[in-house]
Amino acid sequence: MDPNAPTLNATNGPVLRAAIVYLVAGLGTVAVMGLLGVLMRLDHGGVLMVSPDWFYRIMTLHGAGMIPGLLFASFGGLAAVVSTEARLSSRALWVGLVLYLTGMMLVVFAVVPGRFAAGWTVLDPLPYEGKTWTLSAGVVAYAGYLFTALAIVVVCASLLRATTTACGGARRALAWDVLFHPRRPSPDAAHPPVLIATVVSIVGLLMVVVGLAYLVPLFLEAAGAVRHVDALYSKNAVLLFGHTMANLSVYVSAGVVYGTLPRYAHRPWKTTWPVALAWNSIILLIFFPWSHHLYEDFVQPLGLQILGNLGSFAGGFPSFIVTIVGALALVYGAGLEWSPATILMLLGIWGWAFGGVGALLDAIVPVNQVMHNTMWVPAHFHTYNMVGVAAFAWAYLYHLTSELSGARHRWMGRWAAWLYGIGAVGTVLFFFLEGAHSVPRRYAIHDAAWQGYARAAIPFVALMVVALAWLGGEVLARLGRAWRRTHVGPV
Amino acid sequence: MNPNGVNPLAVWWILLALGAAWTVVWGWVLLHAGPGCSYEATAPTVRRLRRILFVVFLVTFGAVFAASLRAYPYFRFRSRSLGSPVATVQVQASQWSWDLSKTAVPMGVPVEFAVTSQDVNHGLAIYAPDGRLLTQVQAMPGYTNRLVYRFAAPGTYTLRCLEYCGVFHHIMVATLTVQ
Amino acid sequence: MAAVLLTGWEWHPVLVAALAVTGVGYVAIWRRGTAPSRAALLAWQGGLFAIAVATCSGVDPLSDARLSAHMVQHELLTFLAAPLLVAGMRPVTLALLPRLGFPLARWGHALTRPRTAWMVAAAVLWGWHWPPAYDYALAHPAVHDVEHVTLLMAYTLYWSPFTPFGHAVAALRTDAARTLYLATGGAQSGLLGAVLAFAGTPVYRHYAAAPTGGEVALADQQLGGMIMLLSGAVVFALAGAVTMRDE
Repeated sequence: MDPNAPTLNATNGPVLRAAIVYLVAGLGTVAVMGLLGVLMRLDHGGVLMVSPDWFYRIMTLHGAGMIPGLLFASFGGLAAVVSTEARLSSRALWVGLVLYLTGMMLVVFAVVPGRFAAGWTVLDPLPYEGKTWTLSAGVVAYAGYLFTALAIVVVCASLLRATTTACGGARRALAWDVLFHPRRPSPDAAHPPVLIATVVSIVGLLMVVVGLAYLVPLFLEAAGAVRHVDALYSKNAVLLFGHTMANLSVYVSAGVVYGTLPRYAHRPWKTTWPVALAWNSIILLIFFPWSHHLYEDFVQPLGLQILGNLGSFAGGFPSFIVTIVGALALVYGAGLEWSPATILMLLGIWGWAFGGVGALLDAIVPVNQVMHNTMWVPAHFHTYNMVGVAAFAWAYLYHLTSELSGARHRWMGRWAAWLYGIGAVGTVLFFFLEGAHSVPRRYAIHDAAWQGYARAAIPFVALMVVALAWLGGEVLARLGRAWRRTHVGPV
Repeated sequence: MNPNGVNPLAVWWILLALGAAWTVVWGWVLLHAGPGCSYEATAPTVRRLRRILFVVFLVTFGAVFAASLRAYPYFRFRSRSLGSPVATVQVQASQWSWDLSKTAVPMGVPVEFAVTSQDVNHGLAIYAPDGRLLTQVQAMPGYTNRLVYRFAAPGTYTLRCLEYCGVFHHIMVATLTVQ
Repeated sequence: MAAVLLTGWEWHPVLVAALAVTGVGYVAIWRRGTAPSRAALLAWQGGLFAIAVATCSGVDPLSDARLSAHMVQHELLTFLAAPLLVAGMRPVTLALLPRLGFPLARWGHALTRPRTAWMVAAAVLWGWHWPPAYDYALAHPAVHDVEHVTLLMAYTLYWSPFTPFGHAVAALRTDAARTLYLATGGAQSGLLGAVLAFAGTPVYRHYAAAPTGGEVALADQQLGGMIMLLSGAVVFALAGAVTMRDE
């Protein structure tokens, strides 16, 4: 992939428009849900209390909005990156967007008028036995998840079709020519973003099958056709689906980095044998760690618990050894062009590894015994999300709007990116500290002894809000011109 | 790893130590991101680094996993390392209270908690008097999870719900006396 | 509900006559048009049939006793009949518009501009579901007929910008516009459905005062709200799936 080739070409204008809407809709949702997160931290700090009923509804909406929001923003970025080399259907992307918006609206309706507050993990039987909301609200929330899953199907199927067509078959789209013939030169091997798009699409489709295996019995239960769904089964199913979905967003946004960092490093990121091996292995490895969420369900078969532990460790190999090391190698001695996009991408690389350490520690079974469902858990996934996926997605939105509008970044944008990093790191460090002090997660009210941590985190949270407001403002200012540019085409 | 419980603060310090080391490496690369060398020149070093990391990860993860097995919290592991339970507490979780068959247990001997739920998933978490989480297990409807623990010191321990279960999840608290 | 829709048919003479005339008239125009499309014919007649089911089948008398049945009746008009009529309308508009003259065509264009169509549909939807209006219509059959006619017309208007009929009817030209139109339009009926599905007390006095009592009315109202919310989600998502175009 030529790192100097412009993103907009003669044919991908419509796809770029769809991609921009994915990024803006996804990150816009993230921003709104982020404000809800600020509210939760203020409540935890004892600064601004909300009723438990509202706290848990906010908590539910926060998670249910963030995870798909980050995933779809990342899909938008990946579609834009891949569209320079493969013919994507803008129609499919818009259909996917309609399905995603429908799903999100249903969830909002379940939570706001419906008082649904089962958490984004919607762990059966809580959605049907909440006591402060009706069974109908649970059904509406699950219906929202179903529409979101359908949206994922449409986007993944469309991406997969595009990459396999562009490469002349699934084998080339998965870079098997490199994987199985490492010594033979492959000058036209699939570029990393195309390979990654193929991998994440396959994972996404398989993941939705799991999601349906969770949702369908529950719809039948609500309709009265099934009396009871086994609690261990539903826990395994929802966590396999949910963990994979959150994990997937990291990989999708990483694909965006593979396509964008080279532009600032002025070096191509090639599909070498480690890259081909890492990304092909992810198709399997991503499905192994889920049982680390079930370590404290002692009735879970021991074999699955061990799989959860080893599977979690295994995920560190492709992520760190190939992608993170690869990113650092790409920029080392490269004469890197510093811009808000570069800074955010490198912050994301940092956060992915740091969050990974926190996660892998918690994936050790005896450690999990004293960390599970404490604030350590939100700590590690907020690191992955804020200083990982979100950083990558914001970087790309910033990059794309700047490139299309022809705007040059000024020093304030770079400062804002660094401040975002500082704010995010401070926020998650206090989460980790809370977890180390056994503060439980998902509590509407924190004991006085715990409130100090959240209070101390508030300045860092505020820093993130200010930084994002600045970067978001720059993006919005360029959006009109960037949009119009996609209609004009390359000059 | 202590079979009776890992110290969470130790985990925090390990995170900080590894995190600091990583930050130094990352920062060093960023400081050297100016023009310096060709991409091709770094390739052999990167290859060697990857091979080293692969082996280091494999060995470290393997060793950690092997060491962790001793401290697995499941019934067959803890009853082997701590001994067969001497006393049993039946725990029934429901929205939003704990129903315990006993509220006092002896110290220094293995005690079993047979935990189940009447409605949704809950989580039994036992906190020491100083506020530290010692051990936990999920309370699932239709299943009984058996948790074995040996209390090292007497006092009033707090039981909290650690699996989100609805609007009063955060006040689903009970006390346990260890004597 | 299927049993209700299939049995208990009562043929209201005026309405049936109107439907028959419209159906036959359509076929006459359709035959004479250039390149008649079988799909358009089926769509139009399907739309008329949906109106018949909504107004003449067992759901009509039941709608007096149950909000959920009344909801199904409205949905048949707004989510089934209206889009089907729009899908089949092309031969009619192509044939009739040149004869109707410029001022009427200009009116049509203004009315079917997406913004206007959206506002009319939303106004009619919320207007008729405002409790005093809703209860009044249930108490006065002639007004109830007006309610049904205006709902049908308002939603025919709402769906019309999806199919361009030449310069007389404005259209949504980009996928972005279609998405925005569907999302905001769907949000209206969705919000209304959600309000009814999750309200703690009966909203409409007509149903609350029924002999079976408030509790039954509340449960039935929740069912009606769920029907509106979920079927709306399906309909708007489906509309998105079939109307998006590669640009």
